Amino acid sequence: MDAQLHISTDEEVISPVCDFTYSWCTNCGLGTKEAKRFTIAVSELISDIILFAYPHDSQAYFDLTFRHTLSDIEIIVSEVGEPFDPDRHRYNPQEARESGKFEGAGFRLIRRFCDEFLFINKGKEGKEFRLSKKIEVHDIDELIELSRSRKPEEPETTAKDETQKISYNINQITPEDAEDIAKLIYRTYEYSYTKEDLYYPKKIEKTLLGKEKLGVITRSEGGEAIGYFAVLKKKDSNIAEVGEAVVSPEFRRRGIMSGMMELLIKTAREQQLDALFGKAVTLHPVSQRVNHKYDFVSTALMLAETSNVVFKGFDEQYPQPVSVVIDFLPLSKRTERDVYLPVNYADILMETYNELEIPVSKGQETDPTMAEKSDVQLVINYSDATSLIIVNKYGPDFRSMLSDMLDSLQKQEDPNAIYLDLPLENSATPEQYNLIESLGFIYCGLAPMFHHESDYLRLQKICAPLDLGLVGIYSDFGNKIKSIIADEYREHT
Amino acid sequence: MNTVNTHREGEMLQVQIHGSFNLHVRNVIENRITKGIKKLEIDLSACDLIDSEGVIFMYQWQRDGQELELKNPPHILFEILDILELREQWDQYYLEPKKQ
Repeated sequence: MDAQLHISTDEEVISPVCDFTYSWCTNCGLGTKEAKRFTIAVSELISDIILFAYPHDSQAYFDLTFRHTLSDIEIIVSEVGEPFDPDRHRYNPQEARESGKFEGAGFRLIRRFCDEFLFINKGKEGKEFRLSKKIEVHDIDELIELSRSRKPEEPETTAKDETQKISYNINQITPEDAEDIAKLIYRTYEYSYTKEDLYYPKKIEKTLLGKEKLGVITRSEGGEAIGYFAVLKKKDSNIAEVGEAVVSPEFRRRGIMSGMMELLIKTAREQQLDALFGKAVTLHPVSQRVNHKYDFVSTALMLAETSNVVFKGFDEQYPQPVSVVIDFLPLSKRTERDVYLPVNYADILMETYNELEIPVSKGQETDPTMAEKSDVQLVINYSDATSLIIVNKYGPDFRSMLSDMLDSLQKQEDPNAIYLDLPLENSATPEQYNLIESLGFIYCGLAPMFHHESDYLRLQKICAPLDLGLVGIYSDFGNKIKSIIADEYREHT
Repeated sequence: MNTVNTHREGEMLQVQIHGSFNLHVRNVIENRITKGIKKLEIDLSACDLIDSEGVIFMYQWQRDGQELELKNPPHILFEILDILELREQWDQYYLEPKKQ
């Protein structure tokens, strides 16, 4: 459950907001003790806003956005009060004891009671405070015990003869399959699978009940789960990410993965999804090869996208954050649209559209319409140390706002990469791109239909040192994208 | 629901907090502290949440030489005192009057 509260700077709102926050935290899976601490952090923050952000207004308003994933919760507090920098208000315990000055005490508690506390300066658009907390699920302990007691033998010793025919059936997953999926993941990867959520039957069940996930499961004749493949629907567009795939080692090379992929694509078409996409890791070619077998097209290369990939059996020590290729498969024909392309990238973007067979025409606009103020969304992935900035509208302050946001992120988060999505169906994009060229972004690629069913140019600012020689790309077109990125990367480092 | 009940007994103000002890509750209590009140007795049995506003208010009350008596303070109160590095002084202020 995500939620948004628009509240006044009236101190009477603190208790109801805290009541809601506590209840929301526990509903999202946070334990009661941690929910209490997190709620205190929220109480501290909104008290400070009420007391200090609007000294000249008897009543003003600010917003709280509650977001959660299966593994963490995040509350974003946005306000447009007086400029403020929490770093300048550090708590000094000695001063508190000696002279009763408690400035910064609330921020000290916030930092202790959250896993992450970020302050994002958005210039004239105001400020954002982000509080987040990881959800620990204790079921995993039970699962570990269960798995230990039934630990399967090594695949090598039990691997069935590949020529031996086995019967299996592939069906769409239902919430009842959740526990079997978690066990299958464990049996295959032990605890090295990158998507930690898949070790928690309750989390899997929740996504299935919430219809966020569309997937298929393969069972042997005896009913044992031997394969699983799923896509996760994007929240802000009618496309889905091919996110989770596993086949039990002893049943590999029998066409199970292909069978599941075919059923998944068919089901996605029946559900009228516009497209599927996958983020294929570049430390081995397996995922990219599977995607291309099913006509996916590489459209972007996101450098340093994840730190959390430890695929058992594929790698030893990979010395840098892992880059991923976006592979994209349109599922329906769409009508031609006008797109506005920055000159630097017009050729490669048009080539990408051609590869995808998505019809577009280059729009011409000499006097683009600007919004009164910028509308920009920030999504932080704390565990991967990356951020995505999505531009919905450009206002006159776009460049300074973006520059302030980058400063805030780089100062506090030590990110590996910051990605920026610019709307290609917005006529102001070419001009605005020219204004931000000096901020250090390089090409990433095309993100078709990624937000609100519209196409975006994805740029990237890489903050971690990378050896691009270790980034392996499978397709020719993917390599073309990589060479453009590599040239720009060299120029910027 | 958040409520603050108060009752005056001579120089003492008895306070009972249901819900959170926060900025709003702090201001409510401050408004009810009238002239002549030298001791606060705060019942926190039904107080689920306390933030720095509540903790600092109680700390300063004692620091100013006035007496505080707490009923069933939640564990989080002492955790906050530790984080703010006020525990030692708090114990002195809180325990000294009771020794006399």
